[in-house]
Amino acid sequence: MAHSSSESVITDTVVSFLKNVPPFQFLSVRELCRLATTMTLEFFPKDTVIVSAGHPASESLYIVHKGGVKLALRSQVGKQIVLDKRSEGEIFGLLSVMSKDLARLDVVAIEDTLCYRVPAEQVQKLISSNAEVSTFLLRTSVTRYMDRSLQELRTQTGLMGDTERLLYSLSVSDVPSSPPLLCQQNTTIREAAQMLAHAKATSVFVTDVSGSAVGIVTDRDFAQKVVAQALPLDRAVTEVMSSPVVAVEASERLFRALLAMVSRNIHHVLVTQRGTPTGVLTAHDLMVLQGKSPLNVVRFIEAQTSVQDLAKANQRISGLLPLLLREGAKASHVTRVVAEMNDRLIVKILQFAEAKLGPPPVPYCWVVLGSEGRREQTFKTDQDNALLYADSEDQASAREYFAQLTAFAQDALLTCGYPICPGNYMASNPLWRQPLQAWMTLFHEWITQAELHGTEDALIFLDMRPVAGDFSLYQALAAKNREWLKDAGMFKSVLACISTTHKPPLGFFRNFVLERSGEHKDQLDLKLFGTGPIVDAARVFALDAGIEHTNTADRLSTLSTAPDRDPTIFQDMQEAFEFLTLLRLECQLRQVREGKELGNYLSPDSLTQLQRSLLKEAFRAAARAQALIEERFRTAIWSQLGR
Amino acid sequence: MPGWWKHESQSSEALSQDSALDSLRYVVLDTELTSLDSRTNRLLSVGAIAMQGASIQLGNQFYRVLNPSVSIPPESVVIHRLRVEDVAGGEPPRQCLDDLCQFIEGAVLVGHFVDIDLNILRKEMGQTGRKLNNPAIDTARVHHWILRHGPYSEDLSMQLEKMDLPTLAKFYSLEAQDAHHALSDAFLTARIWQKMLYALKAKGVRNLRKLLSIGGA
Repeated sequence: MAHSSSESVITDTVVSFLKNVPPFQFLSVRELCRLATTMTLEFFPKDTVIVSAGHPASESLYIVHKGGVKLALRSQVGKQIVLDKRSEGEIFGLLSVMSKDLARLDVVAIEDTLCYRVPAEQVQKLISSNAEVSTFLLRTSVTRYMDRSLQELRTQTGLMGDTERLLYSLSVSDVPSSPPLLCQQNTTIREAAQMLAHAKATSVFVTDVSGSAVGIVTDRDFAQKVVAQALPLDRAVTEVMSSPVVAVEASERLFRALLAMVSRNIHHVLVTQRGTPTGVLTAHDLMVLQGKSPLNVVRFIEAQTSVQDLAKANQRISGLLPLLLREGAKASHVTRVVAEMNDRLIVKILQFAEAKLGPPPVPYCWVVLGSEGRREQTFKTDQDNALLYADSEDQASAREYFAQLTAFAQDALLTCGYPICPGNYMASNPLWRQPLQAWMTLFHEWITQAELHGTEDALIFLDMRPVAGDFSLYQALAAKNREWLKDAGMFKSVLACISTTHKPPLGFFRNFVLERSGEHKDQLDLKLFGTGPIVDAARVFALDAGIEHTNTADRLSTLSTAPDRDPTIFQDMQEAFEFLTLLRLECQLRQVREGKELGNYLSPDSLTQLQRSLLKEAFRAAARAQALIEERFRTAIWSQLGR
Repeated sequence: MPGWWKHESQSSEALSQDSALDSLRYVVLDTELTSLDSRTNRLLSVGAIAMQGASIQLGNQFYRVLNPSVSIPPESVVIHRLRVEDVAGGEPPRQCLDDLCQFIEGAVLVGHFVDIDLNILRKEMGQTGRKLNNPAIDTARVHHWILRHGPYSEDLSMQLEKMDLPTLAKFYSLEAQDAHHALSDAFLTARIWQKMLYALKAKGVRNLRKLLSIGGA
């Protein structure tokens, strides 16, 4: 066996890998060999931040060779909301290579990761020179993102879209573009300039006798060619126009338009319908489109200066939901994004309150409860919150100040579209607005003197999460709770008992628990019998294991990694929860569209066969979780029921 | 002044002992020889790949088969699979070594048991009046250091004994292929070195001075 010295074993290795990676697989071996020699191989140990949001976009496209990365949005308090994951053979950084903008997301290695790095100029060269590569990029992205198969839901590789996704999924005609200004070839520069000024436009297209556009004159041309070179204004506009005109068909993907702009460094693209000019799409239009990303809602919230202005944020937040769902986001991602937005809204409101009332006399911590505390809110969100403040000598002035602060916040939240909590679990209620010591006494009582009825009230507080103010107050309380919970057998058994009250249905129709009468006759309550039992079960296990998370998915994934347990049940619960939440979200999305009252009722008839069998499995997982709880806390539960 | 003089003087001067590990250019290399007998052996092939910091530059590679104009012992052919016929088309050593000098200019050399590579290169270069002055790092020594500075492991003494390239590759979760091909082995060594660089950084190794004290050959 001989070695040939003309071909490199290294290049061979790289090429044989690229051969299986779309879109590189569409290149010839020769092209791949050439590309390989421009690449580098990078190693990122677990947790390395490869791209950092807010920093200049990466200069490269990365192909994951081994390992995997997550794409995440950074929250205000530095937490990450994972939007997407990329694993072996998948690429990241494409859009930042194209847009040369600041990076919008963090890209972090979730395990030791090897990546091939392709320099930006090589990517641009490929896209502009190889039609197959650019079309493939478009097509795979579109089908991959749009075709949200149930299989994807089950394997939890659901994807979420930021602007990147929108560019792939929307077509040019989805973006409102202004009609193009048209002029003849014999139009003078002066006339063209007057047309622009009159129409407040930034471009005019020059057409020939047949009506097709042969050139474009933009405001930039007037500045650079006419003014800067002191060109007489009665010359023909054809002297300063740029040609040929770059056009995209209205039916093409938006990505095409962006590509055309970036690769040619232009700001205007003519939109045509079967060749006839119908509109002009500008770089600005694409920027406005980016306003529909979660990040932009964040920017909107940050920028507001009054409660009245902030009131528009709620609409924007709920406007994100259908968008994210349509783009194929995982349900748990959607609810996390919503929670993050709501958190920022509260922080902003409290800033307004402090601006009005002056600084607080003692530090305080604003906490949210229940589903808000678990980051699992869907469309329907009411106020569930409480307030902790530091103990001090002068309780009276603290009481007075926080009464005003919480009243302000309650009103502001109401103005912003968050209804009053029917159970009055709000910081404006003096019961739920206490100095730290009082909270500790209350929790201690709940945990050590467990009663079936008192504990039901405590449930909502067990999913408490700090949102604004001094988090150390919350942490002090949480630390005590964990300590007390360690040997609170009775409390846990009461919890276990409550958590197994609502049995999930096990079959369809015959055994399905459907409402027997009334408005929701023959419908199924997805929350009461679906997500609810899983949330409750996850809480019991998590509290028992001393896990701090409040989010159900987080609780379950931490539980599944505990060394002394069988992880399968927790993984199954996680999948079931994901599926049931998604069903709930979609159900509510439909209700919003149809202008109906929001609820959690689902009619099994509306499900596809596949959805039904998944639903059945989801219920089965919830039932198994309940069985596990009963087994673990059996004796204790019996003694509770016997009382 | 001969052309190699320029390379030699630059490679030794440009590198400050205080250079950060990330800022260095490394050339990871491997050689195949006619035998391991250092008195009589000759250089058969050289493979090398360049790294800028921890970034492996896939287009920046070097591979040459040399014609030593001597017979190759059969027992070594079995290892590197280079027969007399294969090296017959190889280049004369002088040209190869000139090119190699240029390739390694200003770089820190890295190799697995790099002393063997350095010895043969020095010997071959010496025959045409060249010198090899680049600082050089032995990945085996570095690995030894990392193991002894790592978390305690029960089979540490066993690990310290087994230092061959496939074992190291396995340790760093890398798959080896095409063993005993100079360029393949250089590439594998580069990938090990890439991971070692992060391990060294994590253990507080910052500059060339410290690196040489750990793994210098």
